[in-house]
Amino acid sequence: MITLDGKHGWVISYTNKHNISGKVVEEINNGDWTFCTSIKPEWDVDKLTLNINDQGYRGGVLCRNGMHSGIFNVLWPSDDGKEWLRFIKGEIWYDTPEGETKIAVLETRVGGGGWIDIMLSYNRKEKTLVLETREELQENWNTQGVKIDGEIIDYSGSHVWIGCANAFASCPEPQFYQGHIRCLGVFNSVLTEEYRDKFYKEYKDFRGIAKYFRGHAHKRQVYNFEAMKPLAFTNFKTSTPYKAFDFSGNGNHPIIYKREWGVY
Amino acid sequence: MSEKKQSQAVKVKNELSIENQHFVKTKQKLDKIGPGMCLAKWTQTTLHLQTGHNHSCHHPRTHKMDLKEIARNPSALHNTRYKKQRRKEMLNGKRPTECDYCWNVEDNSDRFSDRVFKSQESWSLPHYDEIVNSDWREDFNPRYVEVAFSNACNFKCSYCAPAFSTQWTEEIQNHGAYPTTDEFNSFKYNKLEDKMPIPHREANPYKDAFWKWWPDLYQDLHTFRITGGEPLLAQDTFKVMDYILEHPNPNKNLQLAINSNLGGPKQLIDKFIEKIQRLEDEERVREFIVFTSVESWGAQAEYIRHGLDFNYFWDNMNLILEKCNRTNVTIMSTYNALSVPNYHKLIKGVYDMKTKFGSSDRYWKSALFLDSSYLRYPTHQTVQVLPKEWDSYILKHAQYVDYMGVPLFDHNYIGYSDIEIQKIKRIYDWKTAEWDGKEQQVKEHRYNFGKFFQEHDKRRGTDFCKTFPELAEFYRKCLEIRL
Repeated sequence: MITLDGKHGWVISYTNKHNISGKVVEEINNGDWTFCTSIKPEWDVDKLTLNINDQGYRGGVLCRNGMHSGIFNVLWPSDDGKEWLRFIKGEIWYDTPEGETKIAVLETRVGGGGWIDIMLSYNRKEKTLVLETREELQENWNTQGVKIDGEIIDYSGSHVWIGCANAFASCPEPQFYQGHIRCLGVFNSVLTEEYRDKFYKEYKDFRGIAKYFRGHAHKRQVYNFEAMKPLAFTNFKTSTPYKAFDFSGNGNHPIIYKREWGVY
Repeated sequence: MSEKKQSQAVKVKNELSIENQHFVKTKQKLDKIGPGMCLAKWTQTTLHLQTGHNHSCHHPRTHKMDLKEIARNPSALHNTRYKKQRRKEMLNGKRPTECDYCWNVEDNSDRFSDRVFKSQESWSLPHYDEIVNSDWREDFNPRYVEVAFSNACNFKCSYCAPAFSTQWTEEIQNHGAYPTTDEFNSFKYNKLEDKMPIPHREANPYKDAFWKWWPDLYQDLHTFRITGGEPLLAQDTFKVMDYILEHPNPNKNLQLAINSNLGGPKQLIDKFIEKIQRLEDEERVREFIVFTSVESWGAQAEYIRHGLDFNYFWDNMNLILEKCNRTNVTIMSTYNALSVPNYHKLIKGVYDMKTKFGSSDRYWKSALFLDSSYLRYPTHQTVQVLPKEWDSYILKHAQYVDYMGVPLFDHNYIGYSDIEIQKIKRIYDWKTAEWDGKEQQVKEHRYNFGKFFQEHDKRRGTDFCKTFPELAEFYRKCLEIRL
């Protein structure tokens, strides 16, 4: 688990500078994809900096930079101003056949303050974006979907950000997230229910380099996720002060990124 | 050349031009004299005193030093008549044939060859004018010297040879060459190339010449590195250290490096550490580096390096870094087929030590470096013999080092450097490269792999399958190969 203080994020570079990725995360530009995560956001408005017109708060959970897309948590006042509403959103930008650039937004209201499992997927052939969420102690998943009337905009060269939408100093809207994140998965496929449940059942077990390198491990995927076409997954339990170990076998280790570091 | 290839070549050339202006300038300076000019022929030398051979730059084959020449002029250990002829060729615009490694690079790619890199070094380039204005007959004191005083060694690493190990010499004397198709480590090669090592207890005229030359050489040195054999078993190693410790006017710019397997007797290790401490405390050298070697972890490392007690070795490395707080240690790891199953443990062990001992007091902040190079010879032990399924394992090692790497944007942290990562990536690239006839070559190398380790177990009482259960199935298949 990592805790984000609203001042830094993590990043998986779209390509490895040493060219040692088995598969780069940029592969998601060419096929289906799924983002999985499990988070416990900070919902206390007094502890958050309102970053949407000083009216509400929006944090990037698992995003791609450019025209920010991915999973966000949002705190927004109700119409009567008496309460703060909590949302998880899944968003993607696309070009319509008429040449307009639009955003597709899926959102779900959050009731409690506990952990939330989230999955956002895109089926490129069917052009459908699906957001699934499940709050702590909730058995069933809430599922919403939307058909995209157009083509997703070009995200080539975009990194995958964790805990922000884009931490580069040059970005005016970094949308830093505050709270906890206990896992992430980036897959080059739309996960079926079976695989979704497998990921959320097993991610806690990702740990230990010894298991990863165990004899004959080269003959099989340690976590047997191969059919899910993993690009990166981690639960942050195996980490250095700077990086979390990617157990997908692709070497796409998420790296901590501080805004003051400038451009990566 | 196809259009695509041509444009790639132009791109590479442009990148090189932009990113490496210094190399471009150095190449232009060298080319002004001739297309074969290389300063390393003057500034660098490796002296194998146990066999009487030397070469300047590691690429040309070694050649014999002349006993009559060195009796008259000890600097002829480096300034041999043979080498002076090659210098003459260079100064006259020719390319010496022995330097074909670089000509192959220059003629077949847009990359800089090593003659540019080696001439660019701080021990080379400052001497450009002096060299190009000199007569080819003149002697020149090298600035970067590597010397092996003897082949005395307490180890007989599986990939080593009698020229570098008395233990190997003894084994070959007793049992003969290994039953591989190339008769691995047969003395016939040493005899053919006049490389039979002089027994380390016998008089050695090359060593005598070295000590005559040393007082003159010492003050000019930029880097002095002692190799072997096991240098701690050679009295000359301590003689060098004592010379520097006792010198009234030491060369304080010297980078002194000593190789050691760190497996020698305790009293020698302690003596070594004590002298390093004095060299550091009295600031008699600019930098001191210990080069050592290991290629895996635990029992597997011990099998590869016969004679190694892994825990003793690791403790000694700890001790040096603990007691010598300005010294850096580099592990020269000759990554080979037997390294693959357990190299991740070595990567982790080195990382832990980097974290423990890293400090800005040291010449290099990272106390310990893992310099992974791939074994090229003997061919039966290179990673090429392994089946393709092991390729991903090598890549995973590179990814693992990357995982423990230092992000470029933060220099305060200690971890693996880009070079350490790239060197493992290079091993993967080499392993996965294809060339004509590779399959047939690999078949023979696998045959030899089986033959070598079968004989190894027989002669040395080792058990390959027990030590390398991950490779046991592969080993058995190698034994079934018929050529």
